[in-house]
Amino acid sequence: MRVVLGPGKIFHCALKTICARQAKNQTLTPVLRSLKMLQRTACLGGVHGGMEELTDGELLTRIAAGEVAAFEVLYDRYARLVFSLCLRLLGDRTAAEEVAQDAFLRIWRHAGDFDPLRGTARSWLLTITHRLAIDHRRQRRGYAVPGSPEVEAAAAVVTDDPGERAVAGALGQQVNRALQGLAPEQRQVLCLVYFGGFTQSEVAQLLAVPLGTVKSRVRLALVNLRRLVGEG
Amino acid sequence: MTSRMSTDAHAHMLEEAVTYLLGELPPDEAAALEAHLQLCTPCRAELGDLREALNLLADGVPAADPPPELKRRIMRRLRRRRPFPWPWATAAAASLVAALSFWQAAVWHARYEAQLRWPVHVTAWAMRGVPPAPGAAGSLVWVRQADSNWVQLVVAGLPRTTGKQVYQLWYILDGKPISGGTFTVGASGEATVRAAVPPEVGFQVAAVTLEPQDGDQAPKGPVVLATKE
Repeated sequence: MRVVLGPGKIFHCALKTICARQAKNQTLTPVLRSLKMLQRTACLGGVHGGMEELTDGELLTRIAAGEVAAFEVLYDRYARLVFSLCLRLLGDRTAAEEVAQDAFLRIWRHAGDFDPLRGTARSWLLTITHRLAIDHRRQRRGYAVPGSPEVEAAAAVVTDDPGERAVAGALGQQVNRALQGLAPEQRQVLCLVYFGGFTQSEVAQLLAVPLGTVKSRVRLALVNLRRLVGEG
Repeated sequence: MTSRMSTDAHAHMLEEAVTYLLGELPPDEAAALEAHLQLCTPCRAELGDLREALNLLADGVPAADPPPELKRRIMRRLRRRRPFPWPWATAAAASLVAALSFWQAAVWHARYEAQLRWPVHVTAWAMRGVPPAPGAAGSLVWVRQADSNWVQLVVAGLPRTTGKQVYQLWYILDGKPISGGTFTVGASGEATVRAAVPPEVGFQVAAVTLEPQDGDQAPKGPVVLATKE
């Protein structure tokens, strides 16, 4: 975020930053980060090779600076995961493609917002994907009806077909086993919220339990899920 | 961070972390929670853990390959669009304050050019108002050079201070707040403050709180402005 300026540059650079700031409707920090990135790229002579070895976070920094090649590497790394998640949440390929496209374009435009202090890059882009898919689903769905096929499908998390591959391979299988290991009432609320896209208030209504109970069940489910996956 | 204010904020955070992660918290509450996160490393870690756990669920979904046209379509769209597209500029207040602040920094720079030694390191942040001052905006410019180290804070839209109240600037260093000085605000809601930064202080995040009185070494009042993390 630090920019070293020469005597004549300070004003020019300040103006440039302000223009970018106004154009982007955001804090200055990502802009300055991008400027620094540009400097670094300039030092390296703009070499794009070896990007496959960059971390997700490093790729995002380059994407924020407008590097298409970095975006392509990130796309290749995450397209399958993003698309699979969309398909699971939306149920049809056309909608999944549409939302996956929105998600990647959003990542391209907002890469500068990613903050490593707040979590991993992977988590950041999965959060974006999940939000978009859920929004899409809510627009389509209208109100949740208890006992409807949609609610049942959301609650039945894990596929009955043991031969079906989880998108993240061994980790995915571990996650699904951990889900099975949760107390049924915790698994139910977590799946309704995450896969069904129901708000916690909707879940409270569907299950006829107090909102506070739903909130604490989701929280417990997450804490336990993390622990179970950690134990393998 | 032992004041009642922050204890409440902790409790609130524990209660609403999941609601926040799911995007179900109203914007003003989300902003307040984010402000607390900037000051509180344990809460940040806690929220990070919950977020990772939630996103683990994506790993278990059945694998499906996206069609190759999807990539072509997206890449075509990128080349048409800049990464920073012309937007719906609603944070105009913050931009304007930032612009004024840069302008002033540039004017000072011109005035003191003869005395300055190069290089000069300039870092700037926009600051956003959070409840109880959601309409406030500010900018913080930090200038470091061989023989001086100072910040300039410009704020607008803050409620005026009354009685012994002061606003206090804090540099957040490893989750620990260090006072950057206090100031008062009149009916205009605006203030420009220039303060020296102790040489040992390096910071990534800053916040302004409304304090009941001057002279405290730890924040007691609510956060009113924070750099966006």
